Amino acid sequence: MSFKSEFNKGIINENPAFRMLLGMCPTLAISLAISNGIGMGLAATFVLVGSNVIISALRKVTPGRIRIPIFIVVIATFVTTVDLIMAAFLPDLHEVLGIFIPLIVVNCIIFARAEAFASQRGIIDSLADGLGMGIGWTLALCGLSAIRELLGTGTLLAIPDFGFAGIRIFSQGLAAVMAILPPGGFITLGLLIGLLNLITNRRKTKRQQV
Amino acid sequence: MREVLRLGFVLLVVCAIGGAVLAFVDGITSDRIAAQAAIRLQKALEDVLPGAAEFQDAEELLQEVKAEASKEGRPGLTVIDKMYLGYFQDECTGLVFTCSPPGYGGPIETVVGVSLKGEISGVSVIRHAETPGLGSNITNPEFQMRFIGISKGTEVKVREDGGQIDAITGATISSRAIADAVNGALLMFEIVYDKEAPGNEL
Repeated sequence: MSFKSEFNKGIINENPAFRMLLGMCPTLAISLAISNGIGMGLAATFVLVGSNVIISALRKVTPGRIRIPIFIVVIATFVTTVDLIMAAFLPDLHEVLGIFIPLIVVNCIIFARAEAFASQRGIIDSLADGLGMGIGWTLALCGLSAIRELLGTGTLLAIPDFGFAGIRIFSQGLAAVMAILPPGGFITLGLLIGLLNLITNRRKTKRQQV
Repeated sequence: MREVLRLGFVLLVVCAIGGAVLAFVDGITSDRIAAQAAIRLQKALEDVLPGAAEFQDAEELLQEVKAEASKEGRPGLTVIDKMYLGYFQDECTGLVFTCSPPGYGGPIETVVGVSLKGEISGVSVIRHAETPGLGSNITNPEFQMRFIGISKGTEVKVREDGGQIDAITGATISSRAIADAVNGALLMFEIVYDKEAPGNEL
């Protein structure tokens, strides 16, 4: 597998949120506004790439029986380092993303990629995998967030941390608040997964007919 | 047995390296983080008490009032962490309180300004861990504006509790926490104001 194919698989075919159903807790919890999706997605991508590279580099010296505690130590060290450096040198960005960073530690996508991929593959492949999975998850979050934000509040691209109220598409009175509450998250996610499966199945049958 | 020791040793080495990395990163960042926090606090103080340029920490007075209040068994003041006197050209223009009411995701560090007239002059949130997109809307200026102008003697409550403040949709607990902070600040202001006769020491 080349760098490109390792990268590409995370975007659609093995998309962590829609195909592998990994990291459902943060996916449902934060997909309320597009700005959340971008913030969480980028922060997680950064940690995913870093932890994948380090775990891949250590794979030959990691004893199999204690690999899981070692992964946890590596991931937690990485997340804390990112948190501290961001707080010190990029305070504005940290203000916006700060709330997502503790959530990254409990994101099972990072752990799953360490266990299923990085611990068995080379550094370059692991880097491509981390980048692809991270960006695939970011895109999934943005798609889910866009639908929920629009239906739930009637606005798009609101960024409360910058005091930007977003672009109003329709009035608050018409908005269905349920879309940004937990049930709306499950329903939207379910419909999106169904839609993606429908599209892939159609393509598959078409290809078979040809 | 030997295998257990070997695995334990490997894990010890990994943890030691992780600890060393974190200690190193903390060493180069802690001063800057503290400086950033001080800048943010100063900015928040100026935001909630417009017009004041200098702030003086009134720790002694705060402890004194808190001790008296707990002796009398009066509740509602525990939410207050610090008290600052705001000055403009040597004249006191109001009080600012930093509070940490319990929210949905832990304490919400809130700054509340009260003008000398006993009215809320501003509310600002400096640190919180509320749910992004729901509770995190407490940082929204539009929500914080809802508290401005409320004067002492009023009990602030969200509408769900029969009060006057519209809570954020889907975030009643977070909204209630900010109301708690505002109530604590108003209560504290009243006590301090009565104690230090108007225009006297303030």
